[in-house]
Amino acid sequence: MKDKIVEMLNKGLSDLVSKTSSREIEEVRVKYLGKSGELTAILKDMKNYEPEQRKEIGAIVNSARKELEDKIAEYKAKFEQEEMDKKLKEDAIDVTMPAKNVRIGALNPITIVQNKIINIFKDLGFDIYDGPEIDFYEYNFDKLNIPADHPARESQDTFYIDDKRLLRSQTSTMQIRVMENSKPPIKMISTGKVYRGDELDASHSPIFYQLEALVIDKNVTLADLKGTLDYLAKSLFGSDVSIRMRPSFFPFTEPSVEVDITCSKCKGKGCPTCKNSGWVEILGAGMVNPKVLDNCGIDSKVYSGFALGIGIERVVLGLSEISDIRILVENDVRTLNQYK
Amino acid sequence: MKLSLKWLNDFVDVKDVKPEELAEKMTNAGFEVESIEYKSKGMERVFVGEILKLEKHPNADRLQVCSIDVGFEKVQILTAATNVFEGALIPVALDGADLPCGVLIKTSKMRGLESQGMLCSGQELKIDNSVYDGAEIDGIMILHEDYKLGTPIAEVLGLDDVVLDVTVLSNRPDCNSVLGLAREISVILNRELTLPALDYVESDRKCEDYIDVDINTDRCLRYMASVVTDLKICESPKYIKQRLNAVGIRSINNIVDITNYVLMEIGQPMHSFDYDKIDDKVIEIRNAKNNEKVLALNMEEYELDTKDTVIADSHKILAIAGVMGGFNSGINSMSKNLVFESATFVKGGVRATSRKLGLSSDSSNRYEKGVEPAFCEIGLKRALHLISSLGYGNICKGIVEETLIDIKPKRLSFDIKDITKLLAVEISNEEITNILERLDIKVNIENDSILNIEVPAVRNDIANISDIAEEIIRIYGFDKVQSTLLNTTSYCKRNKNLKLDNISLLKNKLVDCGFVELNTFTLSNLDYVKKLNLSNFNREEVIAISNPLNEDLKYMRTNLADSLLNVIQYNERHGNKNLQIFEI
Ligand SMILES: [Zn+2]
Repeated sequence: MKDKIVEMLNKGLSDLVSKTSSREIEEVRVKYLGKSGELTAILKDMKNYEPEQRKEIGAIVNSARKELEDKIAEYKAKFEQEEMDKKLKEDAIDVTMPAKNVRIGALNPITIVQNKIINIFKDLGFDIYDGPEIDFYEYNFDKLNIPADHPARESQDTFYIDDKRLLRSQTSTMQIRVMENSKPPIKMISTGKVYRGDELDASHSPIFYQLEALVIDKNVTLADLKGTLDYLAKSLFGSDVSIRMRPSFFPFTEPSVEVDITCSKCKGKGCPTCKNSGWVEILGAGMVNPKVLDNCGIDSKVYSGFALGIGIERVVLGLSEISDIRILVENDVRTLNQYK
Repeated sequence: MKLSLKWLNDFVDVKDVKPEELAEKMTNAGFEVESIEYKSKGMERVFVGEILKLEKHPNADRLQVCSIDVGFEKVQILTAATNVFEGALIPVALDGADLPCGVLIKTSKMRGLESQGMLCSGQELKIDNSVYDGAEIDGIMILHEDYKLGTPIAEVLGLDDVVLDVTVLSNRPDCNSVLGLAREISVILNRELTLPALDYVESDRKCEDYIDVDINTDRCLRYMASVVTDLKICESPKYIKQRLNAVGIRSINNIVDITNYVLMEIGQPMHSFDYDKIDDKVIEIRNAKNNEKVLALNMEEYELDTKDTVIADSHKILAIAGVMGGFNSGINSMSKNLVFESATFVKGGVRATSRKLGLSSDSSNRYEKGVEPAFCEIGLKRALHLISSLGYGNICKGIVEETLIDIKPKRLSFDIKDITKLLAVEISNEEITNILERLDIKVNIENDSILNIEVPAVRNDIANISDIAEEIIRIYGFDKVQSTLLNTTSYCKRNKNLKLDNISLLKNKLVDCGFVELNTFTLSNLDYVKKLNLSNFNREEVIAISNPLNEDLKYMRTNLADSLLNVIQYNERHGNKNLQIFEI
């Protein structure tokens, strides 16, 4: 009996050597150690032996079983590791040669950032409007209090179509359209393409995106603008950023401010990105100029408001490692797939 | 604009303020400082020294051993230069100096003898003759005036200055000058402002006997002329040269330098004509005639038309108004008498001419930003003050002028409550008064509630309550404004934008199906007509840009397929295959 067990063990061990996968190893295990396996069968047969014999055979079977089990575990682990490596390798290859049914698309980074900002303002109860990219001089300049001799009107800065129409150079056109067509209170945003006569380079593009927000009501104050800017900056760039408002000038707002946020690269300590100031400019804003309200038929003695305008590309850059906006119009699918 | 702190100190004392601190305060008040340039950079360890003794190096023929006194210590320095002599005053770079040319100076031994520094050439200090006469000689720079030993060399060279590059916002053209910024800085730092001296001595001759001014165009608002006789053309004093140099203007001669000095200091462009080249004692400001030609100071001939403005006498053009003087009317070293022009030309006119001719100057750049008529008089009087005090000629009595507009302070009234409500800050009437008065705005508060102000004529940007609120808050500080989140605004009825909602839905569906969203230019050329074989294409329906950047951005595209094909081509070239792309 003892010989039979040793023979069975040796057969089992040699069976293992010839196997090449974890699945085949499992078959070996079932053959010898499974419920109806050969070694298991001997143990089941035990009742046919004398008590002393039982003890002796039992000990031999168990030690053989233990040896076979250990060997099986060893082989199994080895094959499983190999198989895992192989699978990983195959998956890696899958990425460069897209598999037929596991393809995932991507929104454009511009859309992703637009959506983020839109959602922030929707939470604050703002409505969203869209409007034409081809607009009248009136909406792009006159009603925004941009005087006839303002440099922005020069042909090198703005694209003209004819003597009435142009390609809007700012989404502020939508402020005017909304103010003319609805009564306060107004809480609106609008986003889209704008056009300016800049050649394409690392930081300029003749076509880019803006997002505009406007609030008009009784009692809207500078503190409301500051609070909104603070909420926007923290929602977009993280709760640890602070904002700084610096006086600036835009014809359609007064007071006007440039808004800086803490430099993300140095956390405000000063570095080359922020020219050692610790601040990075992200948008322009201000209290709506009473002249603009009057231009739109809103009584500036009763109502006040604020407006802000953000360059979307600038935010995309701020939220990523990219420092060249040309990458955003290159449309390299592999790059676009990296934003999610 | 470039602001020399040394120059600024004439009007407001900032000697004890660190330039970085000043820059930050200016930025917070609306005058962003782009950069801070230390003119003395690299000269911190370079001092005036005297060569007490010169001896030959015992072990090296080419070296001399100099015993040098730099005032606070005596040092031994070896030099190979041959132009040094005992008693010479020279710039001495001591151990640790990190020179402008990039050389680091360390005490070292040469052929057994110690050298504790280096004698400097102009080249090593990166200066030329315009900074110090004799800086360009081959060898050590020998100082030709007497200086106290140990004086920092930057002081000798007039480079003990710091220059701020300030962005002046387009609504504040009155601040494109040292004086304009000085006024703002005096308010920001709450310090006293010293106004420039405008006094001068006049001769018995009457200006009106010499010249007449006649404006015959609506592109000139004000023209003032003054005549200086017995002119002395020479070099400018050192401080004028150094200040102009610090802000990037090269010294020419005393008269040209004075016009540039006034331009930078007061913000008023000035021009000087040789009086004896003006025919019939008359200066006319008029529109140019079609095809009228003028030879400008730069020796180029320009053809003008009626959209250009010129300064002319009875026969010829003397200058292209606000842009450049004529070659035949300018002063030179032989000039005996001159006419100073101090005028206000409208910015649109100067800009149009400058663009059309492709010709710009410091003067045209300033006019394009806007020069208030009130500055004409200050600028002219400042120039005459410099002529008079420096003894460059005799100034005729009176100023000849023609002024077509009213130059008066503007009176405005507001309810203080409306201002503080808009700004949402608690600010006392005293503080408001203090801020505005320092900005040269006269204040009178009625019944503790009505703010009556008188705005100087140069502050064209102040017209309504928001403008005055901005003046207050930018000085008071935006950092003192609280943050509230539209607490007081009413509930707005919500408008659903179905179009945008649906576009967003569609985009997300496409992404779920594996598509990547593109962002391509909406402007294009007409190549796609051919590429896509569009037989029913109607060119009339395409919207064209009248002033495109280039042919590829000339038309509003009517077709997305063309853009997508370009993207496919780009991606194929970059090894991206099996594309699923979309754009809406
Ligand atoms: Zn930084």
